[in-house]
Amino acid sequence: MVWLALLFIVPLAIMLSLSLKTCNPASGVCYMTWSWGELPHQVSLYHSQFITSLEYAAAATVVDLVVSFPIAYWIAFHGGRKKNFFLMMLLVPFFVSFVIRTLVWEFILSDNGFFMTFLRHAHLISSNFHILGTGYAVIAGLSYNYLPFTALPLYVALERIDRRVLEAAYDLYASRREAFQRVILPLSIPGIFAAFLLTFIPAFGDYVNQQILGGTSSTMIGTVIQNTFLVTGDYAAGSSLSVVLLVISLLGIWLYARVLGSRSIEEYL
Amino acid sequence: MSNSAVDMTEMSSASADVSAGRKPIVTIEHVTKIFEDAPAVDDLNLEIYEGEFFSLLGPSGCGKTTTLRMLGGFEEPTSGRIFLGGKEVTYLAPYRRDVNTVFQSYALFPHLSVFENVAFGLKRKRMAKAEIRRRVSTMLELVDLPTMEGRRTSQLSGGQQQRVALARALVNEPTLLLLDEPMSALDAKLRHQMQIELKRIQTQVGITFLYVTHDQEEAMTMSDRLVVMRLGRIEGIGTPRDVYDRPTTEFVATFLGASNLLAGDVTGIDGSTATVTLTSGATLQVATERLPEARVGLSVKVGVRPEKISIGGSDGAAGADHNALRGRVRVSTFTGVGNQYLVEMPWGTDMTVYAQNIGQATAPRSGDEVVLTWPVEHTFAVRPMAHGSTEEESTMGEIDE
Amino acid sequence: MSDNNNTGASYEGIDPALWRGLTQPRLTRRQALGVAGGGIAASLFLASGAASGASLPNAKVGNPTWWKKQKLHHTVNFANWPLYIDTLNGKYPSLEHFTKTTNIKVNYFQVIDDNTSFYAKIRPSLAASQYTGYDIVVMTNNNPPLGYLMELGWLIPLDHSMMSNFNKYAGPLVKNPAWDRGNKYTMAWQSGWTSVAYNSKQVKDPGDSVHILFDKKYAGRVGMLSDPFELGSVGLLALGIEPASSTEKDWSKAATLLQKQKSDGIVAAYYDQSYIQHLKNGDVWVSQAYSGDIYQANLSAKYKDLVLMIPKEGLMMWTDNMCIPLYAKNPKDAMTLMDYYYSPVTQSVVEYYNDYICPVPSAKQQLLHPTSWNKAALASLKPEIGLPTTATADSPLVFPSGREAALTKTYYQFKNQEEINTWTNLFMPIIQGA
Repeated sequence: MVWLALLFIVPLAIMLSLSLKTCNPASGVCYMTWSWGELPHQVSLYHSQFITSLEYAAAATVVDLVVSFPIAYWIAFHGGRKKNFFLMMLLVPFFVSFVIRTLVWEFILSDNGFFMTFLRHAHLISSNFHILGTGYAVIAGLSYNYLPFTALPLYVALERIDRRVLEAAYDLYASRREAFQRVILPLSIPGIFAAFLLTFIPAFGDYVNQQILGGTSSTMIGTVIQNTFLVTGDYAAGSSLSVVLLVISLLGIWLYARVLGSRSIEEYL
Repeated sequence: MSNSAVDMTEMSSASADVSAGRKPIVTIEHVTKIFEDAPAVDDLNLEIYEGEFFSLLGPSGCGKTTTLRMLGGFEEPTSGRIFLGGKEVTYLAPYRRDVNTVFQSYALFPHLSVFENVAFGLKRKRMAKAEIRRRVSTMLELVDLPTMEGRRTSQLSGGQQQRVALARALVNEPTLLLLDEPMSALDAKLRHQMQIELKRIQTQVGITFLYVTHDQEEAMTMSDRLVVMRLGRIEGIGTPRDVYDRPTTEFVATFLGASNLLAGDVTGIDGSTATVTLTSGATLQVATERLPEARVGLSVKVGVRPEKISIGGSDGAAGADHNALRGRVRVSTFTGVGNQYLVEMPWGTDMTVYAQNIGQATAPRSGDEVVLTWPVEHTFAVRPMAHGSTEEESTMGEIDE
Repeated sequence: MSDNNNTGASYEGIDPALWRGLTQPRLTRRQALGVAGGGIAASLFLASGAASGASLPNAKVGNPTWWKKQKLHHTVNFANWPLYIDTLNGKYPSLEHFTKTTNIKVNYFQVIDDNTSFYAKIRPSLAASQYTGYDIVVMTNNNPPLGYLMELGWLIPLDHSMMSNFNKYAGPLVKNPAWDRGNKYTMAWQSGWTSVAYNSKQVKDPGDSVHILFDKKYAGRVGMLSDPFELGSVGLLALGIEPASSTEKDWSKAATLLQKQKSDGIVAAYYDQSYIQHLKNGDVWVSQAYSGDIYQANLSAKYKDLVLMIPKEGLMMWTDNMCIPLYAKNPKDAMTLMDYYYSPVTQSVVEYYNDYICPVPSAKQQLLHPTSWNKAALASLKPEIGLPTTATADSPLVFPSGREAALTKTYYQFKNQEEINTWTNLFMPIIQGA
């Protein structure tokens, strides 16, 4: 409890109170003004960046779910004794620093990098086509960087599924496809939910990918917050934006739980 | 002597009658299953008849669960063939077999309600909704769970879960129902109750049941026929009475109920009766027909079930059609329905005697010299087992429990 | 990706550009976060309720009487930007020589990688009237923090009696500068230009104007800086307006021009330090650029094609300044060290390693004909640098000739916080607009 208070509640309270203050960037002195008006003001200034962030984070989360589900499924059901090895292989790239990984993506997606050069030489893309500096590059970077946050909860959920329940499904005339649809997928819902939260939330507030891989029309709210803190030194505005980010995230979680958490997935299939 | 021979003939014909006029619903031909070099099932041949309650009985590792899984389609035999209702199903996927299973842990779908669990198979068969509803309701009634439709399976007790598992499988009216130690998670009282109920349900629906268990009492209570398996092979097959009273191997004699086994050699054969001389020098009579091989000089173990032995005073005499041995009561235990005696024999080992409490005035006490007598017809002889007792045999590659 | 023939400290196996990206070393010090023209007119935008001039915390500090009472403590704590001083095998020859001759031990901290965030680190100590831990800090003139430090009275006025080297050797660009008249608080460490660079393999007729950044021919291949003050300044230059004397109306015009440049799809992205990587790998053909980056890139044969343009509209010059924060424990030692770096002999060693505009023009002669301890120091640095000292001495980017000096422009000097906000609100939306 003490740690929770120290590491979580206290910083959060500081951020919340800062968002209601006005700060002098020179002296650093902040006055409590109780101006809730800062919150809607910041939203009106940066709503399009919020929307961009939501779009990118959602796209990256969907990409991650689609990409990592088969991986997690394969490791959980067919990994055999080498499960740990495969999990390790999945994680090894992520022992490298976040920034370096993203920089490597910059290198890969660069117009003169081997990937784009190859595509150009194969006449698959025109000489004017580029990925770096577009939203697609940002989504690719986000997807890559948050992949383990999707894959691991999915793996845990799939691993936990009782193999005999799966056998029971086969026994009760469910084909492989039906068994997946009616048993594996519904039983992995908690994992999908966890994966969604662990991927979407940090991706929503991410700024590194946008700064390294993004272009002129893809600013995410994380970048704005970073700039507000470090360029303008306006801690009050930055905190306000962070609070808005937090509220949107919580709202998203709440909605998601309402829609998906309380009902059986059966109805959706 | 002749009496016992007649009895045995009758028994054999009785067990033959069980199968007479019935067609085999399951035929297992030379099936072998090898897991990592160790055979779990070794050249198994078996026929199960329509409407039978058939049990596979044996200790852990005997190959019974592997056999069940091959019938269910969860394992493929390494060699051999399996027929179901006359059609070969050896390599058919589980969902294409007209077989349903009650799993050991029930394996209910945790995300579905009781109704949805039971309806699962019917839905996969694309049955009309109204028909599904009707059948599920009927089935839940049959297993005595009519009010539980909407519950989640996690809200049910162990016994209720078992009924759901049974209903889920039975509702599909399969050709064959596989039950993989379904009672192992229940307490003794509930288990007894379920045994009776299971038998009732089986009689009612008339579906062939293949029941896998390591509990010999359970198997004998419910089965029409059973096999005792050991090391992937059949050690004994027949009606429970048949297998119990006429064990053909030392393993069956000790695994299925208790037996007193006395090592000796066949020293004479006189028509239908053979003489076995024990290592202590005492002689016993055995029907020649019940020797594993009618040959003088054969090493055998002579056996008798504890409840077949009469215990009497030291001066008690035995008739010609009885075997008799002297000993001294070492332990006498009163169990309510009877007395159990451990009688120390002159050569140092104990024989177990079970006497029913039918109101005898005097019962022998510890230290009393007694004579044990039993009819020759209840005497059997088996080959000594190559290696020891049943406990040593749980190391094979079977994946049950 | 490998450019190891770098004058910078060589980090084996790691591309220096990549390394910079991770550590945000010296080249990033004027990145993103600055306010142009940080010399902020006195007392105009103190925090409401903050002290007026008469009662500034440094009111009784730094006058000749105060300085007379100060003693040498033979130690000095120096906070600077990373990779910004002559370095050989982890040691700093010029600092070692200083210690040897003055018996003042120097604790050199390469802790500043950003003006705003470093300011945020020392601000609590200053507000609590405590020693920040540093006797010298290096702050950029085009960033608010330097202005804030002066405004709030958080710097110790320099002892001009201890500035004999400075008075004798400091160049016109850093003597009596606009941001610190009379060098009351600061002495320049190094300066640099923000201009335009292009890849001559891809750009065949660059011309000599910043309008190349607005040329539709290069749509999607133009890099701009994500620093709102660099961005706005180049917009003003493109309109033919002197940034230093511009008005708010001019800023609006510049913002309109830059917004159009963006909506026309000309801008590839707004970059921080990373623009140089994009220039090198060919994603970006022409970009706003810092002189030091281009000088360094040219040292590698691979990037000889990168050219720094001297546009006819002008070059923006920024300066990093040494100053003594209030409550410093060793001000006299700090003064001694600061003036030591204005010796042409010392500066020749620093400049051979660095590649920025030298505050001491006569260091050029010392580079060509060393006369003192710098002879051995320069020789020992040579294998690391890999170029003759003449390369540094003859570079117009280090010792600007008449033309470059004439084209040098200074940033607009904000008069109050409102002006900073006005500027930021005009240009930040362009940089981070969705």
